[in-house]
Amino acid sequence: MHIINYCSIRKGKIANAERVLFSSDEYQLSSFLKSYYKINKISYPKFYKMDAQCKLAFIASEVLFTDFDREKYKDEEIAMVFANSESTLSTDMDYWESAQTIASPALFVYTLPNIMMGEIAIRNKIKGENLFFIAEDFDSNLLLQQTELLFQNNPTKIVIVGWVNYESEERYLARLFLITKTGDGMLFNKENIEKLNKD
Amino acid sequence: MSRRVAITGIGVVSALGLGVDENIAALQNGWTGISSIQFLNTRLRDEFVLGEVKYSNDKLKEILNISTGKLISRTSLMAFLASREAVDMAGLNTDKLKSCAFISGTTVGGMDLTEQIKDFYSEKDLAEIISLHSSGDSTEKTADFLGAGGFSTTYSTACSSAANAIMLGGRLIKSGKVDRVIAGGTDALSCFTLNGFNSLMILDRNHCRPFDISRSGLNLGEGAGYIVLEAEDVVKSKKILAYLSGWANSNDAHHQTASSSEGIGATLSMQKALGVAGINPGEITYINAHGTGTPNNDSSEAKALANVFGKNVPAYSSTKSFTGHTLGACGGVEGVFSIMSIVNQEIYAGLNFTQADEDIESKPIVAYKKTGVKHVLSNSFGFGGNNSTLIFSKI
Repeated sequence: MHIINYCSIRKGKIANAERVLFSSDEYQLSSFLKSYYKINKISYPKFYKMDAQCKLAFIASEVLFTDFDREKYKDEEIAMVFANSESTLSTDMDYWESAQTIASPALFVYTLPNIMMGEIAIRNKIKGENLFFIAEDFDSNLLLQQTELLFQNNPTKIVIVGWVNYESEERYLARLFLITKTGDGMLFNKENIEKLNKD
Repeated sequence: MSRRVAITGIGVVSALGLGVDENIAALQNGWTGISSIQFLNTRLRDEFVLGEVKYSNDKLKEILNISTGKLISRTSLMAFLASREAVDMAGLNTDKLKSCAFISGTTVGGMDLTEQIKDFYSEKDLAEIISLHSSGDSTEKTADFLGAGGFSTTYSTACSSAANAIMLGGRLIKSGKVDRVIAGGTDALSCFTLNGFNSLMILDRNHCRPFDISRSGLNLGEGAGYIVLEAEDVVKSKKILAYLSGWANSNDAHHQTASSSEGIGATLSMQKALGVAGINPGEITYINAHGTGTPNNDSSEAKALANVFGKNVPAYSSTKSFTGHTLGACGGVEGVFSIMSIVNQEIYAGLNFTQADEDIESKPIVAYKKTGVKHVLSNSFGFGGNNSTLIFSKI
């Protein structure tokens, strides 16, 4: 298993494995992501409907797919395994607040953590397997094991591995890995995950 | 390494009753578990019908020999009952349980308790109730209750959670990583989900009518269903109920809460599962459909069935017309029904169907019958386009 691309978003910085791609003094996630969206001329109106955590996952996936030859793979050859520690707690609370009067369907949709993979799937026409785990901390063993299991299954050729956690406008973290079963480049193993996670 | 995955125990709790016997008797006799709201403390009490488990939390604790004063979520209580039944049936002793994995799916976790907190400042048990809130809590509590000491994890992929838990169980055994897994799911009814599904306008105020042209939404339900999976080579003289032979998951990549009109994701997950099982579509005897009763799901699923099976769609039905939609637990609950269909060599009809959509050629079965059953396919589709299929096979 090899890492084709990597993206992290934290503390007002968007980076890949080599360098910081975008940074802003504006730590507040919503405005920070919006300025990235505008500067890079992304045109995807559904972005504005997403909750903060999905926006975070979505932008990270846009970065991850830069220079990736998506057309080389069939829709069902790309799978996803994501995890986080917060599930969708922030939106759960907003939704619960709305339910005191009239429950908001727009918020309810985002009270499921796997919805972020749904957003990425809709955007990139990804129809492979997708699973979501809730773990206390970034668990590289779990993610490695799951990715390995996904590759044992035909027809998986690419796996997007993600850890996306939104706690508040100041506290957020996305780490996405684009993994290929065969090929070359950095090995997807515990050591390299830890190296990338240090930034 | 590739090993066959044997099923040696099953357990279920739903609106149809506690345990496999009560549930199957209801399915055989056409007794629905959906009724007016008795237990959920909601202001929508007079507006909807639900598939509630017909026992209060105190009563469930009494049955489990747990003191009524103990704080524990309804989600956990139902999981205890269903998983214990499965473990007892499989005859797993303390020693075997020590290394046994436990994988559970849920969407609400301890929501049933936290949402009833009246005032966060004066609630005396606040910290303890909050500690029961996470999805993982019911998994950990149940693993402890059973004494299952192996790998344990929680799936939260909406309504396909339990199916995905069972799928992971199958894979862990097939690939030789573990010998035994208890897998399934549990979800209690909560105001959180009732209000949410109401806001999406996909609830029927009357009894749901899966696949019927007049259908107008789903009924929510609750329950738990667990399956004991063992590698065939470690099951000695024990009675094997059936095999878990196929599984697959795919994304519909269409919409967050709606299925594509052509049923793309559902078609893919069924085709991939048939591939894993190594069987032809024509070999499936019965399909326990996802069949929620919403106009969108049933139309999309029926089209997916036509995509996979052509003009020869096997007998299919939705048992959600009995239990309501048990959300994260439905893959477990309906997995147990699918296995019993093989064990008893019988197929269960859904309720409240009279006429199919004009553009759908197939019809679900409307009468329970005894028949030779070889392979059963069970679908579970979740929000986020998360579609899963399991295939169970006769020994």
